[in-house]
Amino acid sequence: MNRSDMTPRSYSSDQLRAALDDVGGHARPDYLDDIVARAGRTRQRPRWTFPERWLSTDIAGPRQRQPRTAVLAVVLVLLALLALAASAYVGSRLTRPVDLGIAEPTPGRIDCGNPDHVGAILGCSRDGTRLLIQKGVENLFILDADGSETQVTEQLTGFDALLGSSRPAGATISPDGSRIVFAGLTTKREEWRSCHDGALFAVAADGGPAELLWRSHVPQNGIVMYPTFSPDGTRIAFTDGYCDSSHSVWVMNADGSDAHQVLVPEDIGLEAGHVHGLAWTPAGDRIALIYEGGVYTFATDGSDFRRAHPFEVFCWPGNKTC
Amino acid sequence: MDQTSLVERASQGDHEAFGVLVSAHLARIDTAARLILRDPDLARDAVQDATLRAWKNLRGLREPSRFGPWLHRLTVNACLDIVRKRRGQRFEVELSPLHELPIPDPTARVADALYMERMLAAIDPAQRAVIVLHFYLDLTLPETAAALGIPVGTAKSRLNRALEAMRIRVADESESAATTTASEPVA
Repeated sequence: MNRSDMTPRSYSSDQLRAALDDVGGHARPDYLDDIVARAGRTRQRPRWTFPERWLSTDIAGPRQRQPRTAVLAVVLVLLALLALAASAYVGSRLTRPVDLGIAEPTPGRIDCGNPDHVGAILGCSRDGTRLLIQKGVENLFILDADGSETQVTEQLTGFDALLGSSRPAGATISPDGSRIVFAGLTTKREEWRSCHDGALFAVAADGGPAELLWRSHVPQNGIVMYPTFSPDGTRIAFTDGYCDSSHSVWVMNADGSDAHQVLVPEDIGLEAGHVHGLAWTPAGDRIALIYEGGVYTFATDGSDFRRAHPFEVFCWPGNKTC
Repeated sequence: MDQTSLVERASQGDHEAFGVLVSAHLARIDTAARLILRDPDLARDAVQDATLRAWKNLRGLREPSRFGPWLHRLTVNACLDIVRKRRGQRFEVELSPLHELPIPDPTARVADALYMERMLAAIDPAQRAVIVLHFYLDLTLPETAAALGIPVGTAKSRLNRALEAMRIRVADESESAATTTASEPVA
């Protein structure tokens, strides 16, 4: 017979209970001893492990949502703390100094990163046999691996004003070691002026007449600094701007042509400030600079400006691997 | 010795006291388990699981007077755990022989018991759990809902569906259920 065809039976609660009792079979369980024995073999959970003892709920009562919510909240807080710790760790790695790639000394070659050399090291040739150094504030020298030394600027009498360059405006040696480009002045230095008309000059590493490559785009008091050859020697990056601040980054061909401004810090939301120490990546596709205490990088067309990645390697002055 | 003292002693590790506590409820929870699981052996497993769970967690029980309802809840949940673990397996078997029923009016009660057994076999264990908790273990609907960890409204609708499936009308249930649900918020 189909159950749905059956007429419903009517019971009182007591009758229903009695019927269930009958179906249950009036159990007389004989395993109480087993229960007690198992209890004797089993350790009870310590009292302090029951959160219910400190909460408003009881273990025998209905399960409350409150403890679950509390547990969920604790889990979320822990996850948030974990995320904060992770971001702090990643952030600390991102702000680590850039690997300057200083190489270990190699026999027969100049250690470009060794500060024991006399004077300030401004760069070295790619093969590590020629080192460009500055002695005092006025003269550039080429130091060869065989120990010989060439003063590059002694023949620059026609540009005596550059000898008065008041700051280490920077110089760079081409990767093949044949050419020096340095920053100087196009007018005679005068004591009362703190800034002069800056320019870039090129000279052969063996000496000879210097040629004017670039004159500051600032009409007066402009200063050009940090000329830096690209790793392939075809381009030079440098800074130009007012001597007190507002420096921008320029790139031109090695022969001085096609100079163009690629980065103006104020245009990307940075405060006007001093740019220091340009460097190229070994691939020549990005440039790094130090700007107001931070190291930043950007593509050679000035795009993709960002804080330096800790694992990026740049051809900083003194890095012979570039 | 009263239940409070027994619970206190048992929570200090006295398993003999625990045996005394359980013995007062054993027949009832064993029957409840048999009604839900319809298998004496599985029912025994469920009761043993429930009592062991009670022993382990006894120190978390703040109100000794709640030991009985707590043990009932543990038993029903142990039954449903077994059902979940054995889902897909058939274990419907005969219960106790009806000719042994100690009843004064055998005709009517045997008929009721036969009918009840058939109808219990026709519903699922979750519905049987509601029937057993509410009608056999005398838990109110909110207590039944709490024991199963479901909202009161769900417990009520599950009970109604079970009774409908069993073709049973409980004369005094609709009134009490209505009273209960009117005073208890539906979760």
